[in-house]
Amino acid sequence: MIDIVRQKINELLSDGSVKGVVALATANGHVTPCLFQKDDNLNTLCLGDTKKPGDARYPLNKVLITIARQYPNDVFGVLVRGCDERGLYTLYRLNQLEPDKVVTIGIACSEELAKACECKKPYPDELVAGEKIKGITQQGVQDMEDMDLSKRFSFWKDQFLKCVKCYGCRDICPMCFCRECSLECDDLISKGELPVDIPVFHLTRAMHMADRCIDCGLCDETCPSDIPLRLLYKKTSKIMNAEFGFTSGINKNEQSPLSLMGPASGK
Amino acid sequence: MSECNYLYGNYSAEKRVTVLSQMLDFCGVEKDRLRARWVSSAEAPEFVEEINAFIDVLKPLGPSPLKKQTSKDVA
Repeated sequence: MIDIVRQKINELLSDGSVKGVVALATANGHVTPCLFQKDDNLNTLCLGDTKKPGDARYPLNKVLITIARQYPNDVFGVLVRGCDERGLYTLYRLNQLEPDKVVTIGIACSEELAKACECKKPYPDELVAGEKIKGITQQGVQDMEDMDLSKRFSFWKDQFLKCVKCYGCRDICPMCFCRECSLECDDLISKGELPVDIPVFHLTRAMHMADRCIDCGLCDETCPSDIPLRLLYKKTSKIMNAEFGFTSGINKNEQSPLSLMGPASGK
Repeated sequence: MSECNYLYGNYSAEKRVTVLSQMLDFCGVEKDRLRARWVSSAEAPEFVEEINAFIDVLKPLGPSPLKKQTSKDVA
């Protein structure tokens, strides 16, 4: 698969259709985001997932936004998996990236990876390498819903108590780009105090992510306290789908029901 | 719902409350502890009635499990 990707990147850089390609590279034994440009050595290209499913992942969309802001008139390529493409569709909708300034290099995830993420759509619409496999059922959310109320409460209370307010989840999230974050607003959240306001802190983030989270799992991976954040956001996604028929990033030009002024469609 | 003075704020709130009440339930906090009701400032009796009805629902639920003391004991 990596050879096909390498060839594609080479093509894009050689014919000048992109100024650079945001992907991953191995350097000094570690995987890191990398902007490949014309005449660069593509042998360092890496697709992540080196030792176990989902390791060495980065929010490439976020790297792309930083670059695109500095070079707003140039076209850039970016390596995308299913989740990254959902991220791009959402970022287009939120006016953080211009679709005509982005060329995607889509790769599909293996079944092992899809299962590790419980991914609903482990492939991008536009695919360069890999095979589209079926989405996985969301068993984690179902298991949590099957527990009774008091068990759910003890579970989440114990989880949220572990939080050290590192803001890692927010910092790494490719969908988080607000200049003033509610989680740092003194009037809403008591800054600098531990334990966090339970469940206000995490539910605030979940509510903000309700129509944005694309289920990439980076928050979960980043959390130094191993809080199952992804489970929380998978639940908001399930609610958005059930109530409004909306799934973030699945359809390219779909507006979020929470940003539409007026009653929810179908109600 | 179509009479909001600020046009659409009530719809926005309604959608968010729908999501939030289910998230509270998911985190083990009783849904009934959150209530949304739209009243205009000219509807004082309706407001009082709603609050009284809310109190009747809340009393049997008892104090919130989220009182600060509870979490500080464990930490």
